[in-house]
Amino acid sequence: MKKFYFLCANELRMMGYSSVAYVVAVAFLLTMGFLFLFLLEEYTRFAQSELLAVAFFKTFWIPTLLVVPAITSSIFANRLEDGTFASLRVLPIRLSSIIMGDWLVAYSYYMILWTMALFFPWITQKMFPEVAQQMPFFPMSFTLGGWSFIALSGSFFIAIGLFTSSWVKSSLVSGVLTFVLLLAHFLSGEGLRRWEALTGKTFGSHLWSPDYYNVFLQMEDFCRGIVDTRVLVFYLAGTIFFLFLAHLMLSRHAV
Amino acid sequence: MSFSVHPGEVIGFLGPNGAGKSTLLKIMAGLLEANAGRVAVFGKSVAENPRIASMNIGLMLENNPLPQKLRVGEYLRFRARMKGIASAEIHRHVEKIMRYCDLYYKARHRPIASLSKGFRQRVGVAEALLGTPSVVILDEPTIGLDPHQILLFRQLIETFRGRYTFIISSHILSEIEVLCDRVLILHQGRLIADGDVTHLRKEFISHITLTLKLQCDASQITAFEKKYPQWKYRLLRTDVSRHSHTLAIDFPDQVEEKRAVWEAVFAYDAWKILETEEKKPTLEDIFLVATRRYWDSESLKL
Repeated sequence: MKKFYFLCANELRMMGYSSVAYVVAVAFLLTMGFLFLFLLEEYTRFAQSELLAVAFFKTFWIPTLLVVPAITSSIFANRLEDGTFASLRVLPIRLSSIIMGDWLVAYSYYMILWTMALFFPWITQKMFPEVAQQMPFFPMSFTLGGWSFIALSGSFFIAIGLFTSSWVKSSLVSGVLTFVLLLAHFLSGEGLRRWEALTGKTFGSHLWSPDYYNVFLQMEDFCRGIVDTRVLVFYLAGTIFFLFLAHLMLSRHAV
Repeated sequence: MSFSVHPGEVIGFLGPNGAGKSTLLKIMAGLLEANAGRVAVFGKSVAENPRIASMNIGLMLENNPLPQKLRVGEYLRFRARMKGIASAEIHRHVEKIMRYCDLYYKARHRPIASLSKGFRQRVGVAEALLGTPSVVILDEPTIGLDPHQILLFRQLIETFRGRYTFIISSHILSEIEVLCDRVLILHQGRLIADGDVTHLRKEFISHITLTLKLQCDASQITAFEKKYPQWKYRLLRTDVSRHSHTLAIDFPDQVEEKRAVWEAVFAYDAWKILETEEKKPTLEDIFLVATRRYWDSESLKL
C-alpha cells in the first residue's frame, strides 16, 4: 500500500511537470466557461423546460471528448515508446498497482477539473445575485446528482483511455482511438433512440432498452436523483473490464 | 546455456547483434519469462519468485530509459522508496549513491532532460545501485559515450569492484577486456565461450604475434621462413620503393618459444629491423575466432 502511495505521488508529480496538464486544464475551463455563458444567456432570454443545472451537465460530453484522450493518451503509450515502462516493471510492484495508480491519478485530475467547473455557477450567483433570483439556478441536489454521474462515468472513460494507451505505442493514435470509442459510446444510445423513432422498430427486450445506454438520459436521471443500479453496474463493470484489458495488453508488451 | 555468477565478480556479456544478450539479461531480471530453463538468485527461481529478482538485482536497461521531466534527486528518491528502502534511510542512502556516482554536486537538482549522455548513464548506474542489490546488470552502459565519458564510467565501476557483482553487456570489446574478470560470449542464444581473457586466449588463440618492419629483399624473408618452418608467417605489407616489408610471425604463447623467436629474429643478419611489436590476441580476436568457430561447427552439422 505504501508503494502504491509512492507510485501515485510520483505520477502526480510527473503530471505537475507536464505542460499538457495545464493546457488541458485551461482548455477545459475555457470550454466549460463558454458553454455556461451560452446556456445562461439562453436561459435569461427564454423560458426553458429543464433546469440550467441539467442543461449544463448534459454538455459534459463535449469537454469529455477532448479532455479524456488528452489526459490518458500518453500515460502508457509514451512510456512504452521511450522504454520507461520497462524500467518501472523492474521495481518490486505489481503491474495491476501500476495501472491502478495511473488510473487513480488521471481520474482524480479529471474530477478536479469538473469540480473547478462547478465554480462557474457559484461565481455567477455571487457576482450577479439578481440573475440568480430570477430563476432556480443550480439546486444542490441537482448539482450533486450531475457531479455523481460525472464521477461514475468518468471512471469508465478514463479506463477506456488507459486501455487504448496500453494498446498502441503512439499517443496520437491512442488519443484518436479514445476519442472514437467515447464518441461511439455517446452516440450509440441517442442514435438507437432516434432510429427507433424514425423507423418505428424497437430494439432490446423487456429486460434491456437502448435508453439504458443513453448517456444523456442517464445524466438527466442522476440530476433528478434517480440512481438506476443498471447504470451503476454498467459503468463500474465497464471500468473493471477496460482496466483488465489494459492489464492484458501491458503484460503482453515485450519490454 | 548454463553458467553461475559468484559474488563480487565483474562479468562481461559479449555477442553479435541478435545473440540474445539483452533477452537473457531481461530474463535474469525477471522482466521476461523464459520458454525453458531456470534462472536462480541465491538458489531461488526468478520465475517462481519474481520479487527475488526485483529485490536483489539492480538493472540498467539498454538505452537507459529515464523520465525526462523529473530531477535527478527526485527520481532516485522515488526509485529508492519503490525498492523498499526505509523512509528514514532514503535521504542518506540516495545522497551516498549520488556522491559515489559523482551526481551529488553536479546534477542532483537538475532535470534529467538537461543532462549530458554521460551523466544520464551515471543516473542509470546510480539507480541500479540503489538498495544495495547483490547483482547489478548493466545493458550496453557505454553505448553513445565519448572516450572521456567511457573512462569516467570505467572508473565508476572500478570504485564498486568487489562490493557488487556486475554483469555488463557491451559491444565495446576493449571495455569488457579492461573491466571484466570473466567473459561470456553468446551466439544465437548459446554460450560459446566462458572464462577470463587469459583462459579464452588459450582456448581460442594459442599464439602470440610478433610484427616486424624489415628492410631487406623478399628472398631473405623466404629464406628465414625456410630456416624456421615451425612458426607461421604472414607478409602484411611491402613497400617496394623503400625495400621494406611488414612481416607477422605467429608462435605459441610459451616462454621458450618467445625467447627462440626473438633470438632468431635478431640473429638473422640478412635484414635490418626497423620496428618490432609483440601483440597478444585481443578480446576482439578471441570474439571473432569463437564466433567463426561456432559458425563452422554449425555449417558442418548442416
